[in-house]
Amino acid sequence: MRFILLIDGMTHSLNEPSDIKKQDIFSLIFAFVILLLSIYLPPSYGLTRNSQIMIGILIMAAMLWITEPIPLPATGILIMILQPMLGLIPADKVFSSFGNQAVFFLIGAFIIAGAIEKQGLHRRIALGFLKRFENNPRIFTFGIIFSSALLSFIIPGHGVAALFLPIITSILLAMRVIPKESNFGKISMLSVAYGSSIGSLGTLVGGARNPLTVGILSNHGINISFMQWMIYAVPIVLIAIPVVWFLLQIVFPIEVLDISLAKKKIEEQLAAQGSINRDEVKTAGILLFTIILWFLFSNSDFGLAGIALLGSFLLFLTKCISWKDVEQRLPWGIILMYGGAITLGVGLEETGAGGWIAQTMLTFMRGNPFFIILGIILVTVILTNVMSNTGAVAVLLPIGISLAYELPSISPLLASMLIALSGGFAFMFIIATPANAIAYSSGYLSMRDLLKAGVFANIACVIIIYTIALIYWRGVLGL
Amino acid sequence: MNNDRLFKKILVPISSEFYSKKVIKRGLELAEIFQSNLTIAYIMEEKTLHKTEKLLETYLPFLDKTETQKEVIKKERETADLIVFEEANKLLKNYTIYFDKKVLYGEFSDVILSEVKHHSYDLVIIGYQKACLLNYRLIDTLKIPVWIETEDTEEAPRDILLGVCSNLAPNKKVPNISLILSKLLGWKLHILYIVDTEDTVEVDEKGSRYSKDRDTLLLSGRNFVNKMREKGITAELIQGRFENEVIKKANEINPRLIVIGREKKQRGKLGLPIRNVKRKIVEKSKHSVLLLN
Repeated sequence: MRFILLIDGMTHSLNEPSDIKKQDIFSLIFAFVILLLSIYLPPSYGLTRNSQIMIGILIMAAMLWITEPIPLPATGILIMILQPMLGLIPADKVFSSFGNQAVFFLIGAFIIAGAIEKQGLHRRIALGFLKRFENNPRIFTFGIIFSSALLSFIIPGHGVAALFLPIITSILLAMRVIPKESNFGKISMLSVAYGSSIGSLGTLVGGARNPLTVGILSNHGINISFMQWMIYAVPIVLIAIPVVWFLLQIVFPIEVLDISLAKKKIEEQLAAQGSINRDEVKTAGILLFTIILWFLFSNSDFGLAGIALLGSFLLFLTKCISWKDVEQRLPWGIILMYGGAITLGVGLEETGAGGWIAQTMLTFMRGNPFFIILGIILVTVILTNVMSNTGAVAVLLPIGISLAYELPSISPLLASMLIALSGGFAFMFIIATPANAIAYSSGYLSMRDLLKAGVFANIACVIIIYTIALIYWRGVLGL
Repeated sequence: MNNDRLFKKILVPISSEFYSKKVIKRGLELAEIFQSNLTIAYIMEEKTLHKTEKLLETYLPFLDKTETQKEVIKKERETADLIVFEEANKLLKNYTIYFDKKVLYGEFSDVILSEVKHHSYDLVIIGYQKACLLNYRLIDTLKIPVWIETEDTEEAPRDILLGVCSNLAPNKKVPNISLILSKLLGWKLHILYIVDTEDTVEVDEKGSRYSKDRDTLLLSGRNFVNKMREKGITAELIQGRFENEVIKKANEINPRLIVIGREKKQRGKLGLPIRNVKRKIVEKSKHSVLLLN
């Protein structure tokens, strides 16, 4: 990527640094050494040759997803290449698992999100929500976290963060809020990041890891509908949003008293949007139609992906989106990354490596389901904070499902939901999720602020999901 | 030395990573005293943009990435105009000078080094905050005076200027400039002479180092202190580790500013090589520091 920046008449070229850094080379060498060891060392501890190599691929992938010496999707591609190349799984099986409906659901959902973004519908919805929270600065920050969470129900969380960045920064600038100094500025941007992350748990559209979970579960004969997912996940969102918002108020007490400039700015931005146009109405109608179909028929033969693709087709048909828009707006990298992750899951299962890891973990956890549930949550939260949450879920999901098969008191569905939803609690570092990176790029908060707020938010969310898992999922829903 | 024109061109760089009002205020104050040309430069940190760009690489499609980057740059420009320069303009009402403004892009130290090279500034005033992840490489590399203004501490500093001399520097600039500054700023001057017990050398004006025994160094120190006292300046002699003694004394007398010269300490504990002594002092000190370099 390259773009030119003009500052005071001077031209500055912002080139992505193309030089390979020493640490990238080191990470690559380290990852491949692990793989080579798994290939050439004699199998031990009850592993077969294939399962040992598969574990080597898993560790290598985790290493590459944590250190990112190559783009995340490139690691996904590498996983797909290595399995047939090393004779673990035949190529046709690897690539047929890539054809999982979760991948096509993602494509359809991204096209729909692209149309919403193109028409500016998301901006109109965001401003409409924010307008209802202008009573005082505290309520306004609640408005930000709540609106970004709700919007993340219909478009991916990182898209919501990108949408809110200009809206909130323009308000903060109008209020002359000083970057990194003002707690109001910090909370506003943290609300964007945390709101979109928490909200992305709510539906299958919010985060790509959600359909990935559904996809991997469907390989095990467990089908989850759009509505079922919401029944499991929405209570967590509804509890986590006010709790995290309240914690932010304690960690960074707001110093701003007057919100009138924010009101004025929102009015201005709404006025600039103009009245709703025909394309926006058409896009909103198709979105609504698709959501209704997801609610009613996602568990039928039509399936999640079929409905998502139908919605996309209708958007093309009504000229709400063009193929050029799709080319520009679809993050193809995520598709490849998730394809790789799904094949990783298949490989771990086929070679027996997943079962071996699960049994090894069980000997440490002594089979107590309460410890195991807490253990799954903690491992996922820790991992999702130090690497992309996408990668964390991709690595842990196959292991979690294998673990559940070894333990009658935990179902594969429960283990998967724990991992998928805990994977969204990436609050502490900017590398954890694009929403954090976007909030950080605003300049209103430092990495230290993110860590400080993130520690509290993470502790609160671990308690919330643990309680929900024990009382609601296991107790009420019988997961 | 002409007291009125000690610093003719002053640069106040403000990083997008760390905005300090105190630095702007100090820049205006010094520019007023010395009737200097003042430039306030807002530096957009390239690492913020690159870091975000890399993190968004997989998730955001090309169009969204470009739009997000544009928004970040737009916001930075507006921050420069609406927060930094506007604040400086407000403060300017109390002064009779004016300032030039610039928005630059790059790594903090690199941009400042390049600006100094091309525009012949003779003083750079920067803000400092421990939590801030700025690269302060320029403290070691700049050849002109750098004033490092720290943020407000719990205990307000006293109107004292602590000038630090030692066996590790020629000790010409520090007494002179400290005296001028203390008079113009109305702060009491306190000169400290430290005999560094780890690096027992004497340094001349050219920066050459000559090994000496501790008694000789103490004698030179005593002579220096006596000369200062004859001029009516409070002065004292201390022996120990240069960096530790500076911090200790500063904590004791709580000055507004510590002035440090061209100290060339090369050996530390057990005679092992040591680097970045000045940077260590800046990092550990709660007080503002002027490095005369």
